[in-house]
Amino acid sequence: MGEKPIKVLLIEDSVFATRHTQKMLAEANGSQIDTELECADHLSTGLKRLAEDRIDIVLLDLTLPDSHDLDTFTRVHAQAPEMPIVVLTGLEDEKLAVEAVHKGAQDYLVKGQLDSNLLKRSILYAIERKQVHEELRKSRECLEELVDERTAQLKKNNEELRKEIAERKQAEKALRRTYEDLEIAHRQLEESQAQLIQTEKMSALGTLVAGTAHELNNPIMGIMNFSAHCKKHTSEQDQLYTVLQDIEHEAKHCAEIVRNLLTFSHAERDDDKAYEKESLAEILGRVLKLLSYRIEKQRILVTQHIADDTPEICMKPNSVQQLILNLATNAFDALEGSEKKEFNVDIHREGEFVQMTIADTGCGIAAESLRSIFDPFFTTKPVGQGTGLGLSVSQGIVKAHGGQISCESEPGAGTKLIILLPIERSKQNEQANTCN
Amino acid sequence: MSKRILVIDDDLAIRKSFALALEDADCQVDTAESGGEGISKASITKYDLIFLDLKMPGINGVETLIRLRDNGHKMPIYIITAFHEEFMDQLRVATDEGYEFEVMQKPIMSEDLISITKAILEGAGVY
Repeated sequence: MGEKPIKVLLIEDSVFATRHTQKMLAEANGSQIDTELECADHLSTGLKRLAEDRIDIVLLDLTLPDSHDLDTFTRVHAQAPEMPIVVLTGLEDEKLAVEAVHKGAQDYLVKGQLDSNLLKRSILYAIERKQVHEELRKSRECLEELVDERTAQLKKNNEELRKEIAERKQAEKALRRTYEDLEIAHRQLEESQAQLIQTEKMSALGTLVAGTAHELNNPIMGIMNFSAHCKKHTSEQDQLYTVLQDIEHEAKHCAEIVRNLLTFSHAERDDDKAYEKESLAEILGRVLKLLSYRIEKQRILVTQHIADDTPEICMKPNSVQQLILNLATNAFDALEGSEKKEFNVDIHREGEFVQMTIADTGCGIAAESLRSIFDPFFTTKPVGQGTGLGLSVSQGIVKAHGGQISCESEPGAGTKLIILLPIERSKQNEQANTCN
Repeated sequence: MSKRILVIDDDLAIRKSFALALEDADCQVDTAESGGEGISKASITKYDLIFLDLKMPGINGVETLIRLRDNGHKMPIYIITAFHEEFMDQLRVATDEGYEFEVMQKPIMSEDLISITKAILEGAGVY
């Protein structure tokens, strides 16, 4: 051992046993061990001594005047948990001693079977075992500390990671939102580009159409009049008479197409002088009068709902008449084959606008066609029955008035055209104040 | 006595149309294929009515109208047009400056042409 002698505290009430122990220790001293023995004959004095100064090992008798059995060991161990304790016991108490070892005593010695060598070895081993135990405990504590530290670090890392994930999620969300915004903007751009292309196409088409129509006007007028002249000078009995009649009829059809084409190319242009205040209901009345022969022939049920407070609107009466005529003609065409033949017009004020809804119970328009109905030359009617300009012209007229036209349709159930016309001309359109 | 009518139009089909229709109505029809020819014909013959095209090479309809009126011709002049946008402003100016004319829209059917012509010429004494 080291330079200092091992301080042994013997807590033992038997004078005989104490003396015997003293003797054995004295015998052992000098051979690998150097001890210094102190004695206490009560537990209380023993504990008191333990609290005072350095002691290296306790030899503890379990049966003392002020304490018995395991309780003795427990109390010493509780006061000095790091102290190596060797329990001294009688033969009859060996079981208790084993239990004490389980609870933390380093060893036990049976009194009466003791010699100095055994005692020496037990003391040395007890101290050493305790030291190992202590080191183990310390390293375990150290380990635990390390684990705690690591756990804390891990927790911290985890926390940071979680924060980062949340941040990333947020960033991802923001990114997604930006992406969505971008997509919307892109779509809008594409739409407006398509509209621009469409507008340009229409404008080019308009110019072409107007030019062609003008060029056709003269020859058509020629054909019409030449055939009329021939017809006039041909007997009605002549076989050629009906042929001439057909020529005249077809020429008139051509003239009608040309007129439509010219209206189409003119509809977009704005002539402020032509605007005046007029009642939509009145114009509707005129159109229905014009179409009365068809209404009767097709047995169409016409109903009108015109709100009392509908104001007059600032319009080009001729254009609006053409508009209503076109829409009504379309509706009547749609009613041709259907069983239920109803035509309904609703007119009422809608804020700064007057809304006119023209509905029929006709064949309706297929969803895929609905998108194209306002395109020039788009028609669902058989060849020769429509120029495909009616709705295009109508849309042009509505737009020139600063209004809106839309269409709802259900195949087999009917079609509804909704027209919004402003009551007053908007300032943008207004150049001459002709409506007041 | 039959009425004399001048048709000024660069398109042969139109000139023929007018001639066929109006001769049936017992009118004497002269034609001119340009504004210049029309003006010179009008300076030789006294016409009761002139039909005048707007879009012609050389002197256009509006210009022809102005020259005819400036030359002192007071007969009714009907401008036959399919409403070319480019001439509408000129016609407006002509109206504002006091040049008198009427407008008819192309194409015109022969029966309309005859009835209109008769209606005009019945009140022709005014001019």
